[in-house]
Parts: sequence; structure tokens; C-alpha cells
Amino acid sequence: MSTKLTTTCPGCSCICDDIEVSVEDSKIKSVSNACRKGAALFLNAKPQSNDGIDDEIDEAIEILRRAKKPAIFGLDNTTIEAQQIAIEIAKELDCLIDDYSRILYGDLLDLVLSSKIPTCTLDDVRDRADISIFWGSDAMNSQPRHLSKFSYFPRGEHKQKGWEFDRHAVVIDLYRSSSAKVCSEFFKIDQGGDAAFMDAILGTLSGKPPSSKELLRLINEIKKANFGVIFAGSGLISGLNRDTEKLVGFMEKLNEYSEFCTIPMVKAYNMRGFVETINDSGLERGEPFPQALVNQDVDAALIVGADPLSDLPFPVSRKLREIKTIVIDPRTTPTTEIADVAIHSVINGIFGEGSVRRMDGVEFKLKPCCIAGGGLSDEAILKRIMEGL
Amino acid sequence: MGISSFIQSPAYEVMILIVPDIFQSSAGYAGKFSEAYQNASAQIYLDHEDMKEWSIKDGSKVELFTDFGEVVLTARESEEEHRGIGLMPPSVYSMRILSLDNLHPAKIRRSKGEVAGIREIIGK
Repeated sequence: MSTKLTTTCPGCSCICDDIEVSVEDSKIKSVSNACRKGAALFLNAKPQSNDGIDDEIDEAIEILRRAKKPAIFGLDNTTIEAQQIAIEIAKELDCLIDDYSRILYGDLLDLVLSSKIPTCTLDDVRDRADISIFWGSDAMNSQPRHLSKFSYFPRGEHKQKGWEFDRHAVVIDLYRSSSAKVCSEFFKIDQGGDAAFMDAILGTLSGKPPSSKELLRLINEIKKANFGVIFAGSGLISGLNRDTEKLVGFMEKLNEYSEFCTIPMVKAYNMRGFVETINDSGLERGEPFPQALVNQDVDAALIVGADPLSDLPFPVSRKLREIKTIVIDPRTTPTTEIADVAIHSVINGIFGEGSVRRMDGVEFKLKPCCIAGGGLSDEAILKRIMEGL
Repeated sequence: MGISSFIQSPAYEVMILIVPDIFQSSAGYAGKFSEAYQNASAQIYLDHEDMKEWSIKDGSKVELFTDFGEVVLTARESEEEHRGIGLMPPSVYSMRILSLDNLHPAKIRRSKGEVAGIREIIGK
């Protein structure tokens, strides 16, 4: 007999809470409303077993006990509860703790959290936004339902005519991405040309002649807008050479013309949660993890929900082979393959539960939709490691 | 064996841009050692005009190399114009050749080699 449930997807930072799954004999048989990524996540979910997990946890504790310079890394793809325990472990070990946010977005999230850059929720965007600017971000590939649920296609409280008449969506990027193909306008900029393009926008807004008809059209849309949002991706931060002060100044100037906010287009489903959680804890993160690895300031790494072998450059990731590594991850990845200890946790939102923050900071609860097999959550594994230490 | 097998194809400069790919990330949920994920990861999208100029055909093998390493990939013709830029998804293949800098200049040439498996790339 199959059971139909509505659940929340931990596939990306949109945290879609309208996913319908059909569960039969503790297996997910079908998924509705999800994007391609979300559907793949649910349909490929496998339960874990408890075989060997006690020994793996003991081995992890032993490695961390013996380490002189341990570090904790990842944590963007796990729950707030697991992040809180990881922070406790970092305090206990007096070690660095880091995620991908500084690597990909510099201090953008801190600027948003400290209100140096104005921000809003995705619900505000759906209800009010006249113009959405995707700058160095490709929602169609990274947050696939972003445009349909929040930023371009939906009817909102004050946007009843939707994308046909009420909304303007612009992509600014180095190449015509999938998002650029569906949005109203695309501006191709050269690598590192982001700051110059900001200057061109502000210059034209202040009355200088525009360099192109397209730029004039964008300026007219900005002037017309009561409310606009910049969805800042890692491409923008890289294009600005990580000079986020340029973005702060740009947002200040833009807000002289109309209300403009920024939402960081983080990819991992709980990166926003990690940054808020660690800021709330008051703990200093220490040296960025990649730098610490290269500088040989780490002799053992506890990696949670991350696969640095697949997303950090080789000169960094090869250093992981020279130290002891413990990886907690629901799936087998290149990093679990080279780890000294790989502990397979259950997938949050399918077999495990916990809280997460959407890219705009709104908190959601992930609840299990499938009860099958054994296995422990990231939170439970980290708790046992903490107790063992 | 003809003399052509001893002559290396000319190499051209290309800037590597790491971009998300929904097909690759979805395949990752089926397993990062699955054939689908490997095929979606071990490819580089090139500009149509660049491919014509460099005599690289869609689906053919290319070698991409930097000071940090080299990988054999499948070349794909991009639907969009991005001269001098090669688009790759994040994976052990793209990370194998990248430096710590934001810009990723690399060289590309036609190859008769085979795409290595992910386990081979990570040395397992």
C-alpha cells in the first residue's frame, strides 16, 4: 500500500516545502512538484545500516583525540542542530571550523546578516518584486524552482499579472546561462568586468549617456521599479575580486533611486544556516580551511556533508591525503573514498529530521518522509563524537 | 603506426569557467561513481567558432592541461557564444587542473586518449 505525503526538499537553498512523495514499502516510488535535482535526490535515497557504525565513531574519536591541529569543515549540507554540535566540538578541540561560504561568497553573507547590505525574503520577492537581477548566478541550474516559485513567473500578492506584464528579470554573467535564456534580458560582461558594469549602471542612472540601448532599457526598468532584488552568486563575488565593499556602495546608490535588496544565491541547502549559527555562537572560525590545508596547519579533518575532492582545486584537496580524515556523508563520494573513516549518515528530510535556513534566512523543518533501515543522522553521529571526546 | 601518432596536436589557450549543471548534479544523487555522473562531469563545453578554429569536433576527446595537471575530456559544442571560455561543472575532473586563483587559464588540444574513471583520477 502506498502513502502520499507532502514534504520538504533539501536539494538546494530554495527548500521547497510542497514536494509530494508516494512511499511504498519504505521506498519512495514517485515524486511530484520537485525539480530534476529534487526528484533525483528523493528517488535515489537509500536507507543506511548500523553495521560497523560504532567502530567508525570510536575510530573518529581516536583520530580527533590524537590530532594536534584538528579542523572541522563542510556543514553546509546538514541541519542547524548538527551544526550546533559541530561548533561545540570545535570549542572543545579549540580548532578551526569552516564551510564553503567564505570560499564562494567572501564576506557577502556577513554583510547581509549585519544589514550593511539590505535584504528581504523570497516571499517579499514573490509578492512585490518588479525587477530581479541574477548577477553571477544561474538559478536554472543551481536553484531550479527559484524563477517559478519566487522571482519571475509566479503571481504574488501585488504582482497578479506575473512575468508577462508585472516583472522584469535580468541576468548579468560571463556567458548566456540557462537562466539567461528564460529571463527578459541578458548582459554579457567580461571576466572581472562586474565593477565596471556597476559603474555604468550608476553613471547612466545619474544622467550620463548610456553605452547601449540595452543598458538604457535596464536603467528605465530600475527607475520604474518600486522594489528590486539582486540575486548575488559566486560569479559576482569572483568578478569583483572579492571586493564586496564595491557591492555595498552599489547597493547604497541604487537605493537612492528605489528600494533594492540583495539575497545571496547560496547553493548548499543550509549554508545560510551555518553562517547564522556560527555568528550566533560567537566562535571565531579561524583561518580559511583551504589555506590552513595548504599551510599544513591541519593534521586531522572532520568533514561533514561536503566533498572537497570534487569542489576544491587539486593543490588544496591533495593535502587531504597527507592528513587523517573523517567524513560524515549520506553518500559515497570521492572524499569518502580517500577518508580514513567514512561514516554514512541518513539523508536529512528523507530519513532524518532537523531545521534548516533557506537562502533568505527563513527557517524550515525537515521531517522524515520514509521510515526504513537504521543509520544515524549527522546530528546523532556528531553528538556521539562529542560525548566520546 | 603512422607518423601522425607521434605528432602532438597544437595547443590553444582557453579560460576555464566552473558552472553549475543540473544534469550533472542530478546524476550525482544516483552516485558519484555512476557512469551518468562521470559522463556529465568529464566534459567541456566550447564555443562553436573556437571548435572550428581548433579543429575539435563535438564528442571528440580533448586534453586540458595546466601547471597543476591534465585531464582527458569529451568536447561538447555549446549552444551559446563564449569565445575563449570553456565551461565545466565542478567535479574531480575540473578541480584536477585548477589553481587557487579566480581565473583558470588552461591549454587545450585534440587527444587520442581515453577519459579516466573517477577512481583513477582520485588514485583509488
